[in-house]
Amino acid sequence: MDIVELLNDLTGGQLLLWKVLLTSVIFACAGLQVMLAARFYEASTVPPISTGAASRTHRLNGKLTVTLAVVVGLSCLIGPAGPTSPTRVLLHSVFGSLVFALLAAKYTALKLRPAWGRYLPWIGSGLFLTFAAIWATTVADYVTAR
Amino acid sequence: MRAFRLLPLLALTGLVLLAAPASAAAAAPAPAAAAQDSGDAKIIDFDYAPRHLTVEAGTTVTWSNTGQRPHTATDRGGTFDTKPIAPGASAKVTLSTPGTYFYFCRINPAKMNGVLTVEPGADDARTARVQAVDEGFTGDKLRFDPAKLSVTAGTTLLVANVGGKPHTLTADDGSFDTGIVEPGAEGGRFAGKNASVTLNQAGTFKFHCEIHPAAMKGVVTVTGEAAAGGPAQASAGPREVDVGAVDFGFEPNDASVAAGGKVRVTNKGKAPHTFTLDDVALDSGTIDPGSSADLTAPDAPGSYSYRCTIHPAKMRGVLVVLGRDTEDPNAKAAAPPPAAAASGGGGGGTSAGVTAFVLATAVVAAFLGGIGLSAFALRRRAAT
Repeated sequence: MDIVELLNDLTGGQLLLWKVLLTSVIFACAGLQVMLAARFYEASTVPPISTGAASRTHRLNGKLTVTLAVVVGLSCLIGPAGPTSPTRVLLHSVFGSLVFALLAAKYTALKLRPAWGRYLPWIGSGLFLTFAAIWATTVADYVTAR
Repeated sequence: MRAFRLLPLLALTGLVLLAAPASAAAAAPAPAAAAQDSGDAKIIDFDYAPRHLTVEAGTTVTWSNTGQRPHTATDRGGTFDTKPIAPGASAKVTLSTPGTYFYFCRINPAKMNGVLTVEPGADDARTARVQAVDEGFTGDKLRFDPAKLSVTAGTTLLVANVGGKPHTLTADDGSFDTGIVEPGAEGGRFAGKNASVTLNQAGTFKFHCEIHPAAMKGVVTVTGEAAAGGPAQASAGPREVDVGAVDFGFEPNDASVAAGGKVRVTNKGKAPHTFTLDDVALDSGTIDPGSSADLTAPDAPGSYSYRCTIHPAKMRGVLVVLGRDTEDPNAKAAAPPPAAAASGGGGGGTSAGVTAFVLATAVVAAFLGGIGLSAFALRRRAAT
């Protein structure tokens, strides 16, 4: 069975709509990640929870965010992906790839190169901004084109 | 629990493993899929299901839009265009000319491409389609499709340019020639033109493209003798069409007429207008309010864009000149059923809800992320 057709059937013929909604949720989750990271790095007192709780929430929220991002990313690769034109699609592809490059860098810093830990805030901030760029090059286009 | 921790890594690994074949599959313009005999096809965001449909000549193909956006099914060779099909609506096209049709959505030409194969039916179609293919927008090779065919005398070859470069279909012995068949605009991003030649003389004829003679060659075998009375009628399209020029637009702005037919343009507005084709020297000159002008449509079938040279930004349209057995896109497009229109109205509410949701989540994301980014920036400043 054609995978695109399967995804389309699973979403009741509204694959694109679901991707748009999930992308927005991912973007919001990414924002929450940065805020929680700032909390457990003690750069901020918001939200008013302990650094331990912020750390645990950050991890849980991160797993959720990455899982959703992988699902949406896969459906982009399998389904509507096509030639890198127009420019919006090209940029969207670049930012989509960048997200996973940054995630790879983050996991490397966390698991393999603890010394790189000082770069984690930069990587995390970059991830959030990249998710923002993805949102702008897909969801914003979807909404304005309707 | 450990497995749960590894979930993102496992997901990433799966993504990498799947990315290469998936990308290759997505980049292909129209991968061969199982052919179907049914004349029904679905449109989804952003694809056709199935992408490859095989039907008999004379079959009416129905495209149903099950997606969330309007789409079209448009022949890359310019013989049919469903016009935008609203979500929930459908459109029908009857195909009488055997051959292969590369079609696409002209709203999403980069993403939505399909192939329609029309096989000869029980009746002799007396028309055959040959596609001039190049890398254009589908990434294909220079070739005629099919490069080898057999027809009966009196058959008309409809040559459709589905690529991004101009082509001709010219007999090696010079016995027939389509002349230059123009490609779609922007290197094949949009539908190309078509032309036709009628083969009355029996024999085997090699043909080529005058512009790409090395790569584009073919052979047609003509059997039997031409039917009495010579080639069939030149076109099934109307011999005359009326176009109104109002302030500021054309009514209709997508008219069809037979090759060489009459186009009567009447100025129903209060300002002077013209009816001027973009790519062909055909111009009504200034038509004063209340006056009319008669023009003769081009002989070569195809789609011709036109405009008013006095109000070019607002007044534009497309004149479809129909060749023999060329589908009339303006006649074949099915109007959305009332139910579809009603569901479209309901969709407006959904659309507003989606817009509100995505904007709200974006605001939340920006707010939360902004707090974090600001905190990191302030801490860094304090540290320095």
